Amino acid sequence: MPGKFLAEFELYVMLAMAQLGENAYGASIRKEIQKRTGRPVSIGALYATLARLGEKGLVAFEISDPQPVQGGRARKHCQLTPEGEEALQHSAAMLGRMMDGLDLAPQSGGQS
Amino acid sequence: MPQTPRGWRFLVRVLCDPEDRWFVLDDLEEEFAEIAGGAGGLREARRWYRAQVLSSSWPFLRRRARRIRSFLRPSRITHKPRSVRPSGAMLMQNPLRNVRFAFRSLRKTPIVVLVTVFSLTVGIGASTSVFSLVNAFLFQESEGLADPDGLVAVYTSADHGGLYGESSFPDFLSLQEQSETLEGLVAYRAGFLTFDPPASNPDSPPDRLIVEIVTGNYFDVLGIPVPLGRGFLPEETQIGQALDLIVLSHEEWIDRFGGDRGVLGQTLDLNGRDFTVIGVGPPGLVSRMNRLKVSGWVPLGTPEGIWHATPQELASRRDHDCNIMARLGDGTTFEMAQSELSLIASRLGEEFPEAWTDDRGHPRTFTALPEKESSLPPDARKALAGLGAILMGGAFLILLIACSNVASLFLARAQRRKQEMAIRLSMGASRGRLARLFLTESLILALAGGVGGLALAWWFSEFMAALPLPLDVPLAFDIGLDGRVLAFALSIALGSAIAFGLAPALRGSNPNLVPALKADAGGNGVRGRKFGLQNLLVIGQVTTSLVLLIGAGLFLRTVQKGATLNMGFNPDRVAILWKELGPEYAGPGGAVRFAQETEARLEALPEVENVEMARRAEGSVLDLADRAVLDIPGFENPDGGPVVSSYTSITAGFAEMLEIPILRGRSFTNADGPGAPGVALVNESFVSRYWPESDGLGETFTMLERREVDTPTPAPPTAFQVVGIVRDQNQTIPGARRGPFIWIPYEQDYASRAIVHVKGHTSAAAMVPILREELPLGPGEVPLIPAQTYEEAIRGRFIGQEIASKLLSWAGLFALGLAWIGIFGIVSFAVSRRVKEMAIRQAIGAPRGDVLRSLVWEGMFLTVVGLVLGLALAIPLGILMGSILVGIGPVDPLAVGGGSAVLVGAAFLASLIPALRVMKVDPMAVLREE
Repeated sequence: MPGKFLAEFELYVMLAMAQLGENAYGASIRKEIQKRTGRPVSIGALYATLARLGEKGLVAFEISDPQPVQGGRARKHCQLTPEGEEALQHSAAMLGRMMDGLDLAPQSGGQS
Repeated sequence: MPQTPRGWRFLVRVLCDPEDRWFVLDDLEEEFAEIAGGAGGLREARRWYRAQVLSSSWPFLRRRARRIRSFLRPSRITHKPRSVRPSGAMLMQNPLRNVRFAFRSLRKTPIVVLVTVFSLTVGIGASTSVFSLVNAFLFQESEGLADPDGLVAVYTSADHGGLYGESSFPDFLSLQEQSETLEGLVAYRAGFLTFDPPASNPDSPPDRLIVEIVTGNYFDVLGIPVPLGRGFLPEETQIGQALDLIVLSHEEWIDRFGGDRGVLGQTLDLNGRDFTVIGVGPPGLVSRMNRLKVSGWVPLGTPEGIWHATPQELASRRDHDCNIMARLGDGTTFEMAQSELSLIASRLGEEFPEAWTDDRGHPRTFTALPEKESSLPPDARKALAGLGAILMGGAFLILLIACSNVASLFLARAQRRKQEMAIRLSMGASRGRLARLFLTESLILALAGGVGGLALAWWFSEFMAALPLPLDVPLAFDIGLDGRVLAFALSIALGSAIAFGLAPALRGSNPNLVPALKADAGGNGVRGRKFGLQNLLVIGQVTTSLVLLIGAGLFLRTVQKGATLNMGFNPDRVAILWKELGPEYAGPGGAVRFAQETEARLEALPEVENVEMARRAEGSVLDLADRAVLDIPGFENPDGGPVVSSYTSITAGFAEMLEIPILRGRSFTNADGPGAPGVALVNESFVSRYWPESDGLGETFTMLERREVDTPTPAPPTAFQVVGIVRDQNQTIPGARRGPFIWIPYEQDYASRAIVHVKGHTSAAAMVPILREELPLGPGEVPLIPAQTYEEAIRGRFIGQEIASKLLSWAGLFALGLAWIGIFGIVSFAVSRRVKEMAIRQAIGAPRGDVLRSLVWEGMFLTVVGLVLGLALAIPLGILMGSILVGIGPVDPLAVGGGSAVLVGAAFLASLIPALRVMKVDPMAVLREE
């Protein structure tokens, strides 16, 4: 599937979305990535990446109804499209294949 | 809930892509609140927020850049996220949708649209018209020249010291020989040939051809192609032995010869000589001389010569009658050429001290100008630029009025749409988006106005092209609409869209939500502030219209006064004609013979009262000042130069005919003939300058040399005795004799021309056909002043002012109309808001007159304020225009009073009509409605 390789940050964003499921929106994705990688993520870079993924058709957005609290706001929720899921699986598979036979077993919960 | 830092929040709003702006801000706020609630507290949260904004700035900007790029390359296929529901706010982001929306909302108010487009058409049309005029005269580039940037015009300083005079042919040859920076030099001048039509149509009268007389290298140096036939060859154009050849202009070839290729090789009978047609020039090529439309090009230096380019004239270094154009050599700059020209000039000054000294005793100079600045004489250029600036200012004032009119219309419209806007705002549209919507509407209207304005300008250019010139010569000034004019119209249309659209856009997009949302958006009974924006606009309109009206009045009065000015002589019932004396009257005594014959013949006619000759058409559009070098016993010029004075010669009886005021002594009589002792009249300035001790009568001086303009005549040195003193003219009159002036008898002069003055018994107009009939053109003769009344000839001087007065009158009328609409609108609006108040007042017994007066005062108050401001502005304006106003002061009571009266009258009507309309309404009906 040429052309569907994901850049590192794109991969992080999509993985975070996969982790968050229904609750994926700007702030939650940002926090998820920062929590898991320990690397500071700027909201601007995140939204730029989301927009790019949206243009590629890998991510879809939905404006939610306002939160049911005083002053609640609408959120721009993100979901992986079927193409997005496929691309994610593809990238993960590629990554796995590239690591085959290397002694680089991933450590889970890696927050060093 | 803690507030996020304001400044940083604002930065996000500015930088972030509008699509995500609010989501990003919300996300940031959410986390900000979380952090602020944690251990670090508010300080930590602020630090985090700042870091986020800073690290996001670059991605934000990149995103914006990407969006702009993809907007510019719409063909690029992008995947749109399909699941985004289009919200109303997003709809308006699309510029095309904005346009469609604007059209829909404009359709609802056709009258506003119509008035707007009309106002803008007038405003943009006026400024574009004036710009097309300025463009034609000042910015137009010469066509058909190869590499015009490499061409320079070279001028020799004139006798009176002006830098941009014509050059003599020997000086041209010296330049050609000595210059190393100038590669090719061409000399050229205008000439006139009489064309005897071919035998096929012997009955048609002889025709006059205007040609350019050029050196043989003209086409080669200027890089002008000769599409049909060929240009001149060097061996055909040797000075002194040049052949009678002609390259026809494309237009002449089409008009006279029907574009027949067979014309090549034919001979044309011009001035009784056979000129062989060797080529046809490219279409659109005009003379380098003031863009004269010429019939063709003929070689300079034929053995017989042509009018003003005879072998004798070409041989004289004193005869400044050539124009010079040159091409800069490879690697030479304009500055190098100019410094070399100065060097050559000083060398020539040493070699030919007499010819190279001007009347003030200063050495002459050479001056170069780039080709594009040389299409008009630089002095004329300056004068035109001044006139252009005034007209441009007038046109911009109209545009300003039009814009302010439209702005107040739009303000009123915004007022009515308050409710709609309030709803949009509360539904979540941003203020910026609403403002953009308003601006889109303005832009559409402005562009429509721009198209209308261009149409108007086109019509104007046709009108101007048809305007007669004071001189009977065809000039090629293309007052058309070229790319520059189009760009100008477009940019002022856009500028005016912003000018009239911005205030309503800002105001309309920011209504006070709560009252606006209430149904009662009309705001009954709330009186506006006295100096609200709309009122200020009307005041501005009144001010500008008054300035324009007064300006128009001043020009109008100038033209009117100019024709009836007391020039120091009375042109009443006199018609004149410029007669170039032909070969039959050449030599000493020829002019006298011509004068006697003509006077005898014309005075025999019953309609003619009197016929006199002079060598100068004083005060006319072509008032050539002939000059004489004098020797006055007992007087030395303080700066060492020769004593030079303007002079003319007149026949006996001339002073009486034109009522020239002779203070002391006598005028000329028939006894002052060719053989009699020399006698002269001089003016008061002459006496006070040269004989301050005496009253001048009986004093003597010698004319060492007499010149026709700058060209010496063969008159021998002659002594003259002063027999009469003439009163000085009013020095404020343009064209008045300034400084010392001499009259000598025509019979004692060597004139090569005669200005025939004929006085009729009844009117000057009746003399014109007589002059035309009795004194037809000779071969090669130029009617420099064709038969016309003397008053017409004087009025020709004021052609600029006449055009300006016409244009400004139109401008003033348009401005008045626009201001009228403005006042009418304001009063109507004010009245409609006060209907209830008026009804109550009448119901409780206020007299109708009182109520009416208070309504009319609404409009008149603004008018009076505008009037005061306008008068305050018009006075300095008049002083500024002083140099082109003739015979009237800067505060001409008629112009100022007339302009103000017209304005006040119009304003009164504009206020009265809506007020009267509202008075017709039955007060009880209004009250019952409540």
